[in-house]
Amino acid sequence: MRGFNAFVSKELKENMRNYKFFILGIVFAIVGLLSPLSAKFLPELMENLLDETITIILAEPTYIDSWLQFFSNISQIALVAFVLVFSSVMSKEYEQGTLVHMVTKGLPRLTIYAAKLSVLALSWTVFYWLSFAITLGYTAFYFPDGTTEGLLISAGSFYLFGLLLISVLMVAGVVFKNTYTPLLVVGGFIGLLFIGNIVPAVERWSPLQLSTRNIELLTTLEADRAFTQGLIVTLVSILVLSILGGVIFKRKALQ
Amino acid sequence: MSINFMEYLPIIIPLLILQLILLVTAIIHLVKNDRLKQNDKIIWALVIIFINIIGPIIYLIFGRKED
Repeated sequence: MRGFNAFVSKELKENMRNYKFFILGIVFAIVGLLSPLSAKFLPELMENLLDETITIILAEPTYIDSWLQFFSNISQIALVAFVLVFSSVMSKEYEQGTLVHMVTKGLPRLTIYAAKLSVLALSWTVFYWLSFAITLGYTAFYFPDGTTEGLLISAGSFYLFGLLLISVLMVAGVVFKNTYTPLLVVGGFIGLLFIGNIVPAVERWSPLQLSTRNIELLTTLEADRAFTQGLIVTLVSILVLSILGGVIFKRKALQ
Repeated sequence: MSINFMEYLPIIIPLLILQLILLVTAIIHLVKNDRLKQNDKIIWALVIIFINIIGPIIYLIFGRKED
């Protein structure tokens, strides 16, 4: 346990000093600010930019639009930035051979893996919910008649989807020793999920629902069977992938 | 233009502050960074200043050359 704590604090310090936490903090905060702003601002902007002769009818934006923007921004900007920034989580250690010293001094490999995974999951947790809190605050401010009902399950499901991608990233990071392959693996994984959605049987079990059906959940306020199945598949995958990564890392050459 | 800017100020001000923090951090790092050549520094400075948000981030991730 002492080794775990020490390694976690080493990781935290490292990410603080190489600006990773700084960049992510700002990106996630900007996403949190941008979502309610664009929901409120875009219809007004459209109205002003369009010619007087063209009339389009735009519905008055509601809190749903704000959350729509949030989920699209967080998946397209913030999650991408997160994976990009942390794609070198293992490759750097492999490249510089820094893990060899620690393993030969008696730090168990599983501890190293668990610490890396925990730091990634912890930073995702902190940054994601920070962004969520900012959007929540501004949404309440700009759209006072909105409710927060169904928000927890909607936002929580995307949080789990992020954790799934993190566990995929860690497995890919352990298996491949360069920086770019884990990125490709995560991208390929999402691509596969999208392709799988063509088959209805796969779609009903797909973890992708956790990142695409958030707004539907927010409006209908209930999760159907397919969503619950997707949720279970995601939770099991996170567990299996995390264990798999640990098992592979135990047998992996460190340089 | 009839957009009421006052209404958006509570959200635009923090956004500008965040951008400014990012910009200043990147510039300070660039000035202190002695691993880059003078010419490269000028190019990075232009990137940081003129490419909004993304410029400083790209510098802090790829341009530092510290490892």
